Amino acid sequence: MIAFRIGAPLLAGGLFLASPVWAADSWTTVPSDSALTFQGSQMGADFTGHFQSFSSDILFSPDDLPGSKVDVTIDMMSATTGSADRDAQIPQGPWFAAEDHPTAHFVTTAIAPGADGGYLAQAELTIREVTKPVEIPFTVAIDGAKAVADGSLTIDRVDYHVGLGEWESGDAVGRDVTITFHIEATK
Amino acid sequence: MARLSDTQTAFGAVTKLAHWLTALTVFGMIGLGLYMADLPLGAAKLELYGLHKSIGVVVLVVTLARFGWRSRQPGPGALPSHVAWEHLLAKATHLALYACLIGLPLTGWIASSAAGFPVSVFGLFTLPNLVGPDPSLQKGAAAIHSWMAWAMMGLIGLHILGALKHHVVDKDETLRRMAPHGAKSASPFL
Repeated sequence: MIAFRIGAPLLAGGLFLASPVWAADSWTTVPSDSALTFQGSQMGADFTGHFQSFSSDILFSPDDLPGSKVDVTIDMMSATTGSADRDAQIPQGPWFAAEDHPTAHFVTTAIAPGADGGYLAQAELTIREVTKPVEIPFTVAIDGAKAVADGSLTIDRVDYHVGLGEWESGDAVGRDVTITFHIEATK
Repeated sequence: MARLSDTQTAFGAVTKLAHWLTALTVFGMIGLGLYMADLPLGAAKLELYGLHKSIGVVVLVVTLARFGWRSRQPGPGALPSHVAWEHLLAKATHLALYACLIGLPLTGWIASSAAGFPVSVFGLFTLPNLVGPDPSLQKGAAAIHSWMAWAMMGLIGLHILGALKHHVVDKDETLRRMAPHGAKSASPFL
């Protein structure tokens, strides 16, 4: 009897907690309105590359940051940089080695509130054979069923073995690469 | 004290310096251009192309400055030993050389822009792209650039032959008046 009196509310409470009401929302990106770009420099002149093909699994709710997670897979054969010569080189061995590493991967391990109403994600970034922890600040604006997220992160490409050997000094091709994302999604 | 400006009988120090520096630079750029074009793709090729483009911008600016400088002075005219057709040929050759000094940097700039590689000048600043990415325009501009470089080599050959003809055969002032301490009429202090 007592068990029933305690058990039922407990069970109800447990079911309530397990219900979708408090889980992070699942978002579907709108590829035509989303962009993943990288900015590098060559002989002192900047260039911007676009990854034309990438997919993301996004779970995000401002009220459930522990349950939020962003998982992006990037097609490393899909980069265009405004130069046919450069586009032909980028997938090759010294750079993306896209034949051996067709995708790059970004997955968050923790998302916390950041500065100015934004967020800070701890994540693992995998490019080629290297996985490294990264930290990326980003903003999310949610309007009903639509969300817009923006963020950027600067890496040293040499950390990920992109452009070693004759390219390692950074004189001909700069080492700092800024990766910027703009994701529009619906739930 | 070297006289800076040109007069009706002599070239000044500025004109002479511009002439010889440009000549040296052009020889260097032709050599660099031929060498770098044959390199396999790699960091060295990128760096030499960058150097070639940077120097090219300097040549363009200096040549435009030369126009400004020369336009404000009379400059020495034809010598008594210059026959009419020689005078005409010399003028045409000089004009064509100037056209190359402007045309080569411009076609290079266009080709680089069309290739999607903005021209960075010694890493200090970047020129705006003259055109957007355009593979066929890049090929066309690069082809004209090459052709013009070969034409310029021919013009330089003609230019040197002319100078030597006047110096060795006519034994006149033509070469001497462009030389650093050349002309007989030059001040002993030059």
